[in-house]
Amino acid sequence: MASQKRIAKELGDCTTSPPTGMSIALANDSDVHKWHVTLDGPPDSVYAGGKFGIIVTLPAEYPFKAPVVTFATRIYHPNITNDNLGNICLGLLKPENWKPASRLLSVLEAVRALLIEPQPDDPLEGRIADEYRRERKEFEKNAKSYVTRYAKGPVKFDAPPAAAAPANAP
Amino acid sequence: MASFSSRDRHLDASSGREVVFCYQCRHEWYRDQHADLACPLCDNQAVEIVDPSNDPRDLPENSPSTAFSSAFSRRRRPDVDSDHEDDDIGDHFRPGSFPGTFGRQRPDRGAPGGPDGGDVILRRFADLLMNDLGGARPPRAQPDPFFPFRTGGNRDEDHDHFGMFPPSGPRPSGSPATYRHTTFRSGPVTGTATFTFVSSSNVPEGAAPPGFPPGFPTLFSQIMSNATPPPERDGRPAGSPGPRPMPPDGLNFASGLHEILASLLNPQAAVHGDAVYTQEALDRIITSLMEANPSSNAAPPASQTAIDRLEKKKIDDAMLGPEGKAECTICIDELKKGDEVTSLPCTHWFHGECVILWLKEHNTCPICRAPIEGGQSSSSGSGGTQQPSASQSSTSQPQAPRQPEYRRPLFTSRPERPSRNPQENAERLAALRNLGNSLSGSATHSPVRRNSLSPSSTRDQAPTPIRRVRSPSPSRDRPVGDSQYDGGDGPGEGSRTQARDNRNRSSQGGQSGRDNHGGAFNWIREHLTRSYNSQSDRDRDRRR
Repeated sequence: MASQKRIAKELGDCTTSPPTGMSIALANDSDVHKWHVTLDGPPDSVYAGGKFGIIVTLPAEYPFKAPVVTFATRIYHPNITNDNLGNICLGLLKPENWKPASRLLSVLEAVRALLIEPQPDDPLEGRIADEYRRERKEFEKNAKSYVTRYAKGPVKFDAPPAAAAPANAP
Repeated sequence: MASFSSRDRHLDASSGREVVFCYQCRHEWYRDQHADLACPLCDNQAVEIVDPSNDPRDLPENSPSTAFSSAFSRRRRPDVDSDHEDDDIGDHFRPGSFPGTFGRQRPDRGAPGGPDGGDVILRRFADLLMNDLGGARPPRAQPDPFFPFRTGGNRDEDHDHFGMFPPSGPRPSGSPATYRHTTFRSGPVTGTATFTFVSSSNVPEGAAPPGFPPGFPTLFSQIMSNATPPPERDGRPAGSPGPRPMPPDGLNFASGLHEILASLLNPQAAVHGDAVYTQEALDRIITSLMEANPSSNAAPPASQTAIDRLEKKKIDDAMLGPEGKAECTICIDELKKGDEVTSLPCTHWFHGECVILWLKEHNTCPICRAPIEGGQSSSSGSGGTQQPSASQSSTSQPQAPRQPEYRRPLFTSRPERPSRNPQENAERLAALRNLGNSLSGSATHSPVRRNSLSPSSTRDQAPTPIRRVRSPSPSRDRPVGDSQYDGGDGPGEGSRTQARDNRNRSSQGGQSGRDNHGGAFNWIREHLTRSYNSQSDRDRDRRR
């Protein structure tokens, strides 16, 4: 199975020399199609100090279909849905943009780059994007408060973050 | 055939002598009487050689039957451009104005010459709703000139099978999508609105049109059986029939009409089959399509022939990187010298089986996304540029040293037409503008002779000092399909152009030039409410 072989290779590459600020593990040792990635909030970004869980799901058709990347940890970001789904908008992963030559390493690096520099022109959360553009201070305050609220402590992948910490919790 | 010889003050254009008509002073003369193509009376040069089937003079006796037979006689001309997409646009713009009739392309529309003209209108409306808007049956793109006209009066049968007119002529094969143009024009009373519906029929014959509210055919046939001819309009020729026996009550018609109009005019529901009438409805359809098929804007699969054509070669030293190693970027397996790989036009190469798996889904290179087939350029239109991706840096693949072969013209399927040079285009445009000016009364002297029957190909025209100006045909200079589907310049654009054109001509024809920008709905509203009102009036009268 070409797919399994490639994934195993990529996993090997990613675990031996992981992308900056990330650690990678399989959700389940018998299934190479689901990765759990822990991402340290990039220093100098509003997410610094937080630990974010990212779930990477590789479709059976990988590498011919793009992997699905979601945030398991809630995050206040223009390009990541502000709910317990944590969908992420990444051009690289869109069906019309995906190509088999792209690798998970570059995908993960793109996710990290998105935390350092949000793309408010292609938002999933229009309100947050507006805030990011117009009231940067307010945005930073909110983002940091989300980090304190959700991204501290051990990263949880399985429990939906909203259940672990309701949105309106203090 | 239309013969106007008996009509006073109009010369007979069908007698073999060419009749010339002056737009300025409305003078007519035989061409052989006056050599110069300028009006002998007013010296205006905006003149036209009258064709019997395309008469610019407003003949008041121009009844629908004349109009239709002349329209069909035009159809029979074997030299008319056989490309129906092109010629039907010009077809509908005969300058004569026929009260409330549709210029239709299909010759089996039936009963244009039937005595009850009002019934024809309603029939055509029903036909429009069921066939054209609903896309319920495949179009008859090529008219069948030998199909005899149906004569009127077969109403019961018409109601039984709702299609009204049995399909005739086979569906043209080989064309994946066929477009139908339905053009309305309304007569002197209602102003001059012309609008064109364009619909493509992807619905198989017999399938229910998806957008129809349940029971729509039933409802409509009920209306049809209750409907009476619309009222006589001013200027309607005498001899049209008196009112037919009234149905017991006009209520069915009223409520049915109300429902139809509601479904037609409600922007939320302005969808019938594959036709939409509002931006809102179109947006909703697009949204649902995008949601249903999230990868629909990805590159389409490559054809098997394109895959088979791909070059296979053995890896040689040049293909191995400086370290003497190479890998297939799809499976990240290492490749050795002598292994067979498949090379794409962009010179990127892969395991044959790996790249074929990808190409069966998308016809682009897995590395640079350059299309592998010239004709099937995809959403990644920037085929010419090769962008090294992040992952490429880790591979040792060669970087496209030779000129890629995929830069072919986008539309190769259509035979090339001789394209006009920009200057000629500008001249034609100016001539059209001048024509419009002179029609609306300002005395612009421009050497214009308009004849919409001029040959459709510019090649055939002998060089002549007098330019011919044809009706603008939006699809003339564009690839097929392009004009129908691209957003901004689609059918709406075309119909607007035509409406403008028609307004110009009709207003010079001395008809009430009420500016009717409202399009289809105004027409429908006007005609149907009128019909309904008069019917209830007559009902009241009868009960008294």
